[in-house]
Order: sequence, then structure tokens, then C-alpha cells
Amino acid sequence: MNGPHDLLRESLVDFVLGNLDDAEARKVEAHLAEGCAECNAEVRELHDTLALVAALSDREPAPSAARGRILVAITQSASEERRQQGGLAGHHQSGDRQERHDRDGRDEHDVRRRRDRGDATPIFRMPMWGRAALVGLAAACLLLAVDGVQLRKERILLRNEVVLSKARIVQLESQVDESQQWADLVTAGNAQFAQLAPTPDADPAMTAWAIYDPSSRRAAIVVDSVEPNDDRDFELWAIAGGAPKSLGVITPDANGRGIVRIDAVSGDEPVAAFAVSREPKGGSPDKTAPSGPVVLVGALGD
Amino acid sequence: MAHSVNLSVADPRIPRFQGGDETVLGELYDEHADHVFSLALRILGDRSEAEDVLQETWIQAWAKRSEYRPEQASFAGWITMLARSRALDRVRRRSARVKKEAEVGLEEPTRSSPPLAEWGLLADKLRAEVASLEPQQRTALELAYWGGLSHSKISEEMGQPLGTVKTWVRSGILRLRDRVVKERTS
Repeated sequence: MNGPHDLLRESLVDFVLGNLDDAEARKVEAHLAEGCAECNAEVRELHDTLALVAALSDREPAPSAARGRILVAITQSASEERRQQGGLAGHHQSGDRQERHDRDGRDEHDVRRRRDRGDATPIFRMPMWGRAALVGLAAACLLLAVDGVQLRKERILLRNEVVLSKARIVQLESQVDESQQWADLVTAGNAQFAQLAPTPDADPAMTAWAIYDPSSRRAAIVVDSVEPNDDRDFELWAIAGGAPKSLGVITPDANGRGIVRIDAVSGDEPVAAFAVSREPKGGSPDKTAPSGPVVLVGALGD
Repeated sequence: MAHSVNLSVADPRIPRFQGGDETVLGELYDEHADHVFSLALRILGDRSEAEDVLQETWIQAWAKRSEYRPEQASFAGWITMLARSRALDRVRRRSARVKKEAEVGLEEPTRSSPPLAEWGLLADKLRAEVASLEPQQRTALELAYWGGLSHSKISEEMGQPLGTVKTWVRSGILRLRDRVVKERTS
């Protein structure tokens, strides 16, 4: 028998090789996210096998200079993340950054040591004009050496800037990919929409709409004018096969807008409607039924 | 010489990595950087580009750490997948010739054993399994894995029916998978 599981399982080799198109890959991802133990285990075995196949090749040590550069860039990126999240300010100094400072310090120390050794070691006696010329030459060399250290530092800083820029590009690419995936949901051929209507229990300002793609089971729900409250939460529900299923508590942003994105609504029954209920803090204790009043509800249609 | 990879099932560092603790990065990097660099170098054949891929892979791994699913891949499996994907993107961008990609083949079974006894044994078994594949099947697998070519492109290059190529690649990888699973559980 070729059920969805069997068909998807047939695709797993192509999935790990990256040969599936986006829609096919999403179906596999959704199936894996549903927790199919058999397919998750097989994907893991396939990934591990390919890692081992890759490891059959000759070992080439990664360039040692790359380590500090990469780790410093990531550490800085992590600090930036924390700063943006309003958490700890980016004053954390990692061992790698310390290592870079140490290395720079060693560079300067080496220059100083060489300079000191040169000063303390008379080579031969020479006339005054020769000594003056030598002092001039030494001063010029010293300036060049200091310039060299400075240039090296600048080069390291510039390289770090490049790495940080690349890190930002990767993050942006990732955000663009994600945005594109959700944009694809809106333009999916068989996407269904629902405007959720307020019930008599609703705050009249609250509005919501939902979009759902039955083939991938992806859904996005936007709820506006969610009033934050310490005593209660709003919980989102999908109604499939006549039964509600919790999609989690809605977390509004500073403007009172809550956006919920579901990669794959679990279950086999098609989703017929979405609803929002008012619940105690943390949501309904029973994830198969609201415990508080339903405040918004809307059936899906084309 | 082949190199070892850590395929541990429950690595206690991974939750910390996923939680944004960058202090475990150094350890993970030291463990996997050579593997990533070797893979990138093998696909790209250029040290400078391989170093770029090494850098991009780790930055991407950090940026996408919340998307990593340990139940679907060991950390080594995941980072291998990221590195291969980035290296192949570069190959595609520079429109490398298929011939050059085909030259970068799977390991022949004549290499000496690696130093780690356990991994060495597994690597030897895996090499033997690769060597026992039919030459055409091995070529199809090389083009799919190292070259990142689609089935239809491989079919075109090898002058073989699409269905045959699909079967070769799929059954070849499953055979290697079965060998790895057998050796790890025995």
C-alpha cells in the first residue's frame, strides 16, 4: 500500500541530497515535524551516512587563521543579537577575542623585543656620520615595523568587518528565504482564506484573518488589537474533523498584533475553520477544547 | 587519509549551542572544522573558496541553529549538509564543468586505514561497499553527491534513462546506509 507515509519515505534519499523542489521538500519537512519516528530515524541515518562518505576523503586541516576570525565574528554576532533582544549588552569577551588580542600583543611584543635586542648589540665601531646614518636607518626601519604592525591590525579589523558583513548577509538571506516561503503560501493555488468574525464575547476591536494551504497544511493567522493582560491569554484553535486542536497561545507584539505561523497543522483531517478563545494565563489546560469563551471564529473558503 | 567524524546521538553541547551559548562553539569548531574544510575543498578544488565555505558554513550554522533537529541528523551530519550545500551553490554559480566534477570521485578502496581503530574499521567497510558498487552506479552517486547534479542532468550526462539513474542513486545510498547501520549496531 502506498499511503502518504510510504510515498514520502520514498523521497527521503532525494530530500537529504537536496534534490526535491520546494513544495516536495516542505511536505517531507512537515511529515518529519509531525514526529514520524521511522522517517526521522531514516533521515538521520542517511545524513550520517553521507557525513561518513564525505569523511572518506583525505583530511585537509582547516587554515588555522580562519578559526579566530570565524569565532570572533560569531561571538560579535551573538553579542549583537543579545543587544538587539535587550538582554545583556555586548560586553562579553570570549576566549577567542582574548586570543586575538593576545596574538596582536605578541606581535607588538616581538617587534619591541627585536628592537630592544638590536639596540643593545653593538656590531662594530663606525664613524660618527656612519652612526648617524645607521640611527636614521634604524628609525626608518622602526617606523616601517610599527607601520607593519598597524597595517596587520587594520587588515585583521577589515577581515573581521568582511566576516561580520557576511554573517549579516547570511542572516538576511535566511530571513528572505523565510519571507519567501510565507509569500508562497499566499500565492499557493489552492490556498484558503478566513476572516475571523467576533462573537458577543469578543473585544470589538479585535480582528483576525487566516490563510491555509490544504496541500502543505501550512497556515498563517494574524490577530490584531490583542490587548495584553497579566491574567489571561488568547489561544488559537484549528477546527479539523469537527474537533478543535490548539495551535498555541497568541503572543502579541508591542502594537498588539499577533502573528502565528504553522509549518504543518498536525492531523489528517482538512482544517475547516480557525477560532480564538480567551483563556487563563498559559492557555486552556485541555489542548483539545477551549476552557474559556470563543471570541473569534471563521470558516475557511476559497 | 580518511578522517573521523563524531556521530554521537546525544551530545550535551548541542542544547547549549542551540540556546545561543557561543562558548561551546570553539569545541564544536575544533571537532568539525577539518571535516567541513576537506569536504569544501574536495567539491571546489580551491583552498581560498573552501576557506570561504568553511566560514560561511559556521556563520550559517549559528544563524540557523534553532532550525537544527538533532532527531534528523547528528551535528556532523547537519554541518556536512550545510557545507555541501554552500559548496555546491558556488560550483553552480561558477558553472563548473561536469567533467571536472566527475573527476572528483568517491574514495577508492586502496587508502590506508585511519588512526582511530573504530572509525578506521567503519571507514574500511564503507570504502569496500563503495568499491563493490557497479562502476556506472558509483559514477551516478559521485555526480549526485559531490557534483550536486539532478537526476535528469546525470541521465543526460551518462546517456542513461532517468529511471535507471534514480534507482542507481537511491539504491546506492541505501546500500551504504545499510552498511553503516549494520556496522554501528554490530
